[in-house]
Amino acid sequence: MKLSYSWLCDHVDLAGLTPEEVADQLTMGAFEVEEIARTGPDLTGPVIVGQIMEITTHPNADKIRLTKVKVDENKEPLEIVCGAQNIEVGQRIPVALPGAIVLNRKTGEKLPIIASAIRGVHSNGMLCSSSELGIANGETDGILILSKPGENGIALGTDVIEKLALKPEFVFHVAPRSNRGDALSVIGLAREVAAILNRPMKVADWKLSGGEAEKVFENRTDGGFSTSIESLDDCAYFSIRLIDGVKIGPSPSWLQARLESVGMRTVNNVVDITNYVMLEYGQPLHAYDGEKVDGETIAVRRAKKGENLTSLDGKVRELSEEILAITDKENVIGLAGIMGGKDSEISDETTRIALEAAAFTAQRVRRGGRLVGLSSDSSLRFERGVDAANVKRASDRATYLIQKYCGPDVKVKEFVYSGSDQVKVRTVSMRLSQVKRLLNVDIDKATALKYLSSLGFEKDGDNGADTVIVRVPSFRQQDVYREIDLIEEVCRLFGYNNLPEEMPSASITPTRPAKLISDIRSSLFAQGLSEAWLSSLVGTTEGDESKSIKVLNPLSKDHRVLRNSLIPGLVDAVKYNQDRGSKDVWMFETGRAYEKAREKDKDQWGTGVCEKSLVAGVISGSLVSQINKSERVKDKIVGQASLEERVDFYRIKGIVENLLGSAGIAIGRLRVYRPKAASAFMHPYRVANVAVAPADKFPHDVEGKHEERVVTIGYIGELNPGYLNRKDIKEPVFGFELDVDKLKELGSAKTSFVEPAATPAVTRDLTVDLDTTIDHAAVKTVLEAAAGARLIDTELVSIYPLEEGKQSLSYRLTFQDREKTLTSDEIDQILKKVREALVSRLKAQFRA
Amino acid sequence: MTLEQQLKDLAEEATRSIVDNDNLDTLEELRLKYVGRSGAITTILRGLSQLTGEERKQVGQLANEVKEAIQQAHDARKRALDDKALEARLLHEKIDVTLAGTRIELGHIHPLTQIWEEITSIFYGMGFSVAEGPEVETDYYNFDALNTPKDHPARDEQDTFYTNVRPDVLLRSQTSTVQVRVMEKTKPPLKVISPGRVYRNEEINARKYPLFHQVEGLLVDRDVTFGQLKGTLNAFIRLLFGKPLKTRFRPDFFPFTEPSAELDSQCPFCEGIGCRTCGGRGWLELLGCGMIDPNVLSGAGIDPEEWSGFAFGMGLERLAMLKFGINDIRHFYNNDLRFLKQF
Repeated sequence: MKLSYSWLCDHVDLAGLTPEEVADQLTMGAFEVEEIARTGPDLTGPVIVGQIMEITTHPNADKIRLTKVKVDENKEPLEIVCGAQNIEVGQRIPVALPGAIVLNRKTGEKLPIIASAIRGVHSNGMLCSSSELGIANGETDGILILSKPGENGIALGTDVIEKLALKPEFVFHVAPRSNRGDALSVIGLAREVAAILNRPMKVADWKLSGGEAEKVFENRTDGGFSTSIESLDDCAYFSIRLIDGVKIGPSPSWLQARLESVGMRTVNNVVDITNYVMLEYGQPLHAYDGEKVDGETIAVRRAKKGENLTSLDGKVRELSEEILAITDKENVIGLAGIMGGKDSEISDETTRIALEAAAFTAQRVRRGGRLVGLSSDSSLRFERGVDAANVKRASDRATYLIQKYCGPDVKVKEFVYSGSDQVKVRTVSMRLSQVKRLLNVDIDKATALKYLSSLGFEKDGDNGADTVIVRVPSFRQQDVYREIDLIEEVCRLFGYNNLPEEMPSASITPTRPAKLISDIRSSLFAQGLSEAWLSSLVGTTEGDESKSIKVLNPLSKDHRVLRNSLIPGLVDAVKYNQDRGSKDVWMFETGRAYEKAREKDKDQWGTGVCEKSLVAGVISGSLVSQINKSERVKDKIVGQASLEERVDFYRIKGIVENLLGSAGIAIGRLRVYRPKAASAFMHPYRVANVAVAPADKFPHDVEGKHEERVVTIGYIGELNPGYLNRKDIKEPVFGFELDVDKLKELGSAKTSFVEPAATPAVTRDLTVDLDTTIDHAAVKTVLEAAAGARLIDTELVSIYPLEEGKQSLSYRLTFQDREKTLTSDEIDQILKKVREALVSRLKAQFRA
Repeated sequence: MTLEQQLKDLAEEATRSIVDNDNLDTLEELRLKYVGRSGAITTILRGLSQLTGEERKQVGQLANEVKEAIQQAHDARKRALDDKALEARLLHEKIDVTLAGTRIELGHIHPLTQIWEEITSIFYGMGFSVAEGPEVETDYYNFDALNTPKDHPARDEQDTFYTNVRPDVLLRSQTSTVQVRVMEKTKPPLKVISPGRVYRNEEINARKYPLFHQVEGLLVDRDVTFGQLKGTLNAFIRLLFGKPLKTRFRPDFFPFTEPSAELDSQCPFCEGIGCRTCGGRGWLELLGCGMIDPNVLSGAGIDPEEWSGFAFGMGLERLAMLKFGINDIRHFYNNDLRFLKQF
């Protein structure tokens, strides 16, 4: 909230302190002052009242005049040059003497006054206009006339700055706290300031008295309005003060200035006064036009379904039983604590006022505000809890001001209330040993009580040397219940920054950071992929819609659902970057994907949601390599210029192979197979599922059979060109997505090694003709199973197309036996078995 | 002419022609001519048979010396010519070494990852471990267990996304949720940080994005004090910014800590003088912290009379923006390569 410094000074004595010092202390002791805004002129005297005794024309300039101005009854008048045309002999005007600092009337900048010569004539000061004194903005017509000739004006020599209160105003922007409704007021903050700075609060200088002002009735009266409350759970205390003979008009300028300084719009005297008191006391008030209230009773009750109200802002509000209403005989006339009704609004013709002051329940106002979609300065305060014990005082304060500022005929009538403004006394005790335990400072009982009493807590009984017992003041009922709440108060008045600093004791066994994710990142980064962080809230997802997690109150149509894959976001990032001139986009992300957990074991957190940790990458364009493309270099360094290469399926597959390696999964364990059904955004014939075989056995172990328990961890492939086309992406994009948790389970750090074999390895080439429908992996599997453990490496060296539907694959096979040197015959025997297996299982053909 | 004289003449002639030779091929011809199997020396030595034993011995010795000398002259010349030829080849192979190296361009690690890893490594160094929790949470862990019951005004301050999973399931608005999950699962002493993604329903602008990241920290032990919170966080800030900076702890309110504080550090850019980054204030608001509220401890089954603790939470984006001088949070999520390439 905004806090005016001069207003604060009305309530606490801050003599000798600067606003900056007070703001610092408030920040460090209670509430952060986010900003100090300064308004009003910053003038330096002497600027005093003078009277014009004589006016003559300037000898060298038509428009400039010479004046003689008397500023002291006992001294000779001063000669002052003046350019303004509105001056007359006998006027009293403000005079800035040499040494004063006023404002430049055009720019508002500081203007120091010095004795000088203007076009050859000596001038001993300056006659000031209202803009030069900061009273008006921008250029104004002529000198500020304080009194006309012949009038009995302000005494000569009077300090104008003091007299016209031309002082700068400082407005603190204080960060509000949801638990401290009591501090949403000038007085509430004054209490804090007084406690922190150890300064006295000022005693109020007003008293409501006279006529019927002191008449107080419960529930009903003979003449004016009666009051009633349907349920004390919704409203503890409700009051109406009747005031007659009010004259609506503008409020006094000092009041307008104060409201405006804290950003409150001014309306008329009555409304301004209710706002003023709300800001000062933290108690929202509402004034009804008494003539427009139907019947004799103003009641607080739940609204009925079907009722509605046109609120002050002119909007029709549909009401329901959840909303607390203020009603007259038939109709709702206000939304309790939120906003009044248009029909009973104060108008220029209003003369009779029913002034409402009440303690509505925080939750009720909060819920009502939610339901009608309204929040106001009033509801903000009620939602944080108002002090019932403060209601009547605030009402009286407003009544006092209305009596004073709303015309000569104001007749204050009786005060009628329902409910009770008595706040139940709560006592809380605090052990000094707990203060010591949590804050590690020794605070004695007297000090603790001094801190607490400065905040309005009162000592209540005694219970041994270690314990302090206090009564919680009515205005702190909302946030102080427990020992820890008192410890916090002591802590902040002692000063957080005065508490001793130490390091925690080392009683906890340290752990090591998990490496997998950062290893994955390092691998992809080293292979040229840049890391993206994508929004997990997206517009739509592909796949099983019944599993998708939708946001019920989305921010926009692009943030409606939680993603179930990282790939679409990455593809969007490709588009984003291609649109901005990056042709080669290689990106990855590690992050979560979400879906409803149908099976119990997938519901890891008991939230009904499975959150998978994934890593995904996409590549598009060319191999991003730094190569020298100049012809000169190409001539001399063979192969240099041939590195530029469009990305394809095998490039992304290679990236995944390296990624698995960095996750502790040897390339020999990688299996890929065609999925039965791929994601809609993948190319159906250029996609493969990625699976990992167990680490502890080689595929050759199962002679002639291919039965492995592989774990599928994700997929790789080309993005569906149709999908890319819909996103207006022209270039092919390739991608992969893997489950990080599965990588974690499958990967293992090498723990032992095998001595390199002493026997020689022998290579043989084998060329086999096959149908093109047969994948390399199938050939390799059959081949390796048939060859057995002596075949240690199978490398495909060429693929040669034959007639339609046929191709020729050439393999380089490496054989080795760890125990002995293999003979040519032994290898021929193995190759024979291999050929037979390929023929029988894959219908292979061999050429002579 | 005696054989000796012939040998001496031969030595002189051979040496001269070898030294004068500039070509490796003709050098080899010379070698063969003088010291080859059918070379001049061999021819001369054929005449040895006509000599007496003593003479033969002398001439034979001389012949060997001459042969050795010629061979050495040849070897020296060959080395010189080899060196020269190599030199010529190397000169021919001269390249422009200032051209760029051939490499696969490295990718770039996102600045949020960098700050995430930096923060976690600092806390690992102080003995904290890392725990993660779900982003889709129940309102119990997001609010109730954190001392924020229904109708508490603090719930308003965090505009929460609710989901179609269950009425009580929402997108967590703070990583403090992990505090309670950790305390429920593990008995104290506890020393844990939890980095993660959180969500708030706020309009996107330069400072706000509907999702962002926090790092939550938690320490529960016997006799944990506010001073230990100060010590831990001051050490963290010193390590994060790489220099000792003044800090101050300001009272604030969080439902799940009491006393609660906001930690300001002296602006690392202007060292407190006031600059654009700190808005001229000299101080930067870095994180929220406090002593864990006894309600939160007992709600998680920990006796607040036996144990106490502190907790803190900081925004990853905010720290990254400060550290790298980034002015708009949206940069983090646009994934513009022109942005990422700077990290």
